[in-house]
Amino acid sequence: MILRINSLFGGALTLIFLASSIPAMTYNNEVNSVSTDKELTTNLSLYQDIDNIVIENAEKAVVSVINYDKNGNYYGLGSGVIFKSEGSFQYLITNYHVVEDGATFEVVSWDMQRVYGIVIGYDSIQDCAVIRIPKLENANVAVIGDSSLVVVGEEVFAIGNPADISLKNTITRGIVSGLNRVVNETGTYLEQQKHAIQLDLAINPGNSGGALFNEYGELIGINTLKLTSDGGTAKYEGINLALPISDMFLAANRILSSAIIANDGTLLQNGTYTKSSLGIANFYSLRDISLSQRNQLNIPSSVISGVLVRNIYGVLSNPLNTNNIGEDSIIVSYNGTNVVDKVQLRSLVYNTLIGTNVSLTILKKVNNSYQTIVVTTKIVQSQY
Amino acid sequence: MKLYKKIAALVLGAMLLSSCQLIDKIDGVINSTSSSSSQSDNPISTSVDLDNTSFCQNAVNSDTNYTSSTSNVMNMSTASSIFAEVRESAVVVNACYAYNSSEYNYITSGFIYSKIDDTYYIVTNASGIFHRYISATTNITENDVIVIKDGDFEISFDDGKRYIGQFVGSYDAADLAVFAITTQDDIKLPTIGSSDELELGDSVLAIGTPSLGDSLINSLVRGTISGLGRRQQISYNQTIGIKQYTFSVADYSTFQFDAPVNGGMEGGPVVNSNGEIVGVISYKYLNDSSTVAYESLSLATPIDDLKLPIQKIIEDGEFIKPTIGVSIADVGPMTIVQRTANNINDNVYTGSYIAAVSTGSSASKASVGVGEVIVEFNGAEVKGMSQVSSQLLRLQKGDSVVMKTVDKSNVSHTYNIAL
Repeated sequence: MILRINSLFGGALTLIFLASSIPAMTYNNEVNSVSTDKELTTNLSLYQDIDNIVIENAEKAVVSVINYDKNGNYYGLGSGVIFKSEGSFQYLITNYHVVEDGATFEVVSWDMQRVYGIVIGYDSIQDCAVIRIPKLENANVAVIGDSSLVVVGEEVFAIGNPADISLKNTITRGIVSGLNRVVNETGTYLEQQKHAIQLDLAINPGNSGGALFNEYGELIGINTLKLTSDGGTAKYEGINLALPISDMFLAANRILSSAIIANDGTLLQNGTYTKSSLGIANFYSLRDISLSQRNQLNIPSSVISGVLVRNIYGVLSNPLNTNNIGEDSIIVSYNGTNVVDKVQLRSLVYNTLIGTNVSLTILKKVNNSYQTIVVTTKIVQSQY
Repeated sequence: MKLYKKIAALVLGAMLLSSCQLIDKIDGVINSTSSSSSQSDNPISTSVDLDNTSFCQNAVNSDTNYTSSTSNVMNMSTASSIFAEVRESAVVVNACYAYNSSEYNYITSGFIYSKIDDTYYIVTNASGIFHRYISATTNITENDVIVIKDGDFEISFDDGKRYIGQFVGSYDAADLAVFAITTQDDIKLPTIGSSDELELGDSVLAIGTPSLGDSLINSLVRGTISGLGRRQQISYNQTIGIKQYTFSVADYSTFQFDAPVNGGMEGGPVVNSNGEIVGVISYKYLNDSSTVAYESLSLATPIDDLKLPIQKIIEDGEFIKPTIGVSIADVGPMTIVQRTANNINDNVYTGSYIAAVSTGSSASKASVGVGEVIVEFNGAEVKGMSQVSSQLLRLQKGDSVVMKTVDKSNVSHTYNIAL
């Protein structure tokens, strides 16, 4: 349970390489965001030691999270990263699946100090949870990097607690193998898709919720998933996935800002999450559509990027439905931004507030040919 | 120094080794501390490339941000130059046995450690080679005694040379075995380094021979130091006497690294970026309770912990670790509930909690207090039993050692213990 593996989202992992970069996420910079204005050279110097100072500063922000069930029995082990320090408290970001089904949580700092943590709230779709702990004097707040600047081949390292507490603050090293991999642990709707950074470094059960750092020691992701096998006897090796910090940081801040906390620190109401939704479920990046399918659907050869919507869920509630967008429409533009594929579209929707009207340019199929129409539709709250 | 490697595809027993060796690029960093090994300044181009994947070239050419400044030469070895230094010292220890008219050959890895006259001493992993020997000897039950027979062990090198290996001795609590070969052949001695100088994030290489045997002899793998001072406790199911030797429980310190290690590689050397041997491959984590296979959680015994045991085994055939006579529970792994139950001071996060002191022991004579937490031993900071074990391997009976503790009120105590 601690590290989600591919059997839990078997077959759903599509490996699409997105050539263009996702627009930089805007997130609330009030905490510890640092501008990455350094030149990001692609560092392939794989036989250098990692700078000790970088490691020392980085590892002080990483904790272990021990999950006990309601009977006080050990349930599982994960990792977490301190992302905010305020007053007498510090806040950890971790995976929801690290705290799922737990009753009490012991948080163990880099120097083995143990404190109890409480879950402030979670976002199960983004697999994000926020834990509050009493402020640890010897701990660091992680320097938040910009995951939109991550490039394939970049040197990275992970810190977490695989296996058991005796391997606390294990450092593993590798490179970024791929970007914008799509994972859907929780469902197939657009808003349930997540981006992930693919890594060749070793992460193992227990690393979940732990930190992925770039070579400057900036937090760029939260290690979350690994692919274990294709279902046959061959085991995969070195196909590991981290969720980009931009998405996780946004989710964590949404959780924090929606939690209701009394002046004395008592948690009155858990933080929660809302998901912006366009209300589409059955969709494909045009780049994934085979030539024969394109011919069947009669898609003009000039149209190469966009998202094909096969059908729309929620007959009455779907905003697209009210605009009479039937099946096999192609979304080519979202609020003036050209839609490249579903990963990018998901990102655009994710960053649009619920209730906002957006303008979509759509190729609508009418009598087996496509017409360009522009519709305005409202971003609604996801039902999932 | 840029290095890019692509290693191995194992398909239906056939090895396709696509090895694109090294592409060196020079960047602006100078590592002034590492100087002992050769500088390979120029790109070493590809060696064999069986699957037509010009991977290295693609990797370099397609990365446009890949800047090549020519001003500084990094004073750092490459994996291939280090391999060239160490490979001649790396060996395979073969447990050879004939049973039911079949020949068995079980292997583990090792390396030449030192030479006295015409005798080369070889360090390997005790549980690795003896378990294989034992499994080869078949139908062993608990309490069976195995006597090593002359000629049962052979030492082989990757140039094909093979020698009879004499068992010299072993030390179970650090999973160490020493063999010897006597020959007038000139075999290269490696440089033995210092594991105490390892730091988190350091790059290391490991050399070993996975159990498939000669087809994978001297496999080179690269990794990073993932953790230091990891305590390892291994208990063996069998109690097996080998000469005067009995397996029991091994409790020793290891360092963790993230190179992939496979069965058969234990006993092989772990080498730092200066090409110096800093550890002996010990074992790896296999899988968790839900059968998810662990990846690259590899462990090695620090060479500094083995120097005295190796020396004593060579001189006397055995090493006897001194004892202080305390029962210990590490503070770090204790839950908050356990900390409270043991009265651990709130400001003490690590160290070794003294649960009991044996009557008549060295600790007892020094009036060491039960309930105190060891925080320093023989000058080394104690995070747990791991550091105490490490230091005990560097001491002998008759030595005296300084041990510092804190009690439940966080008051410090210093003891001089005569071992």
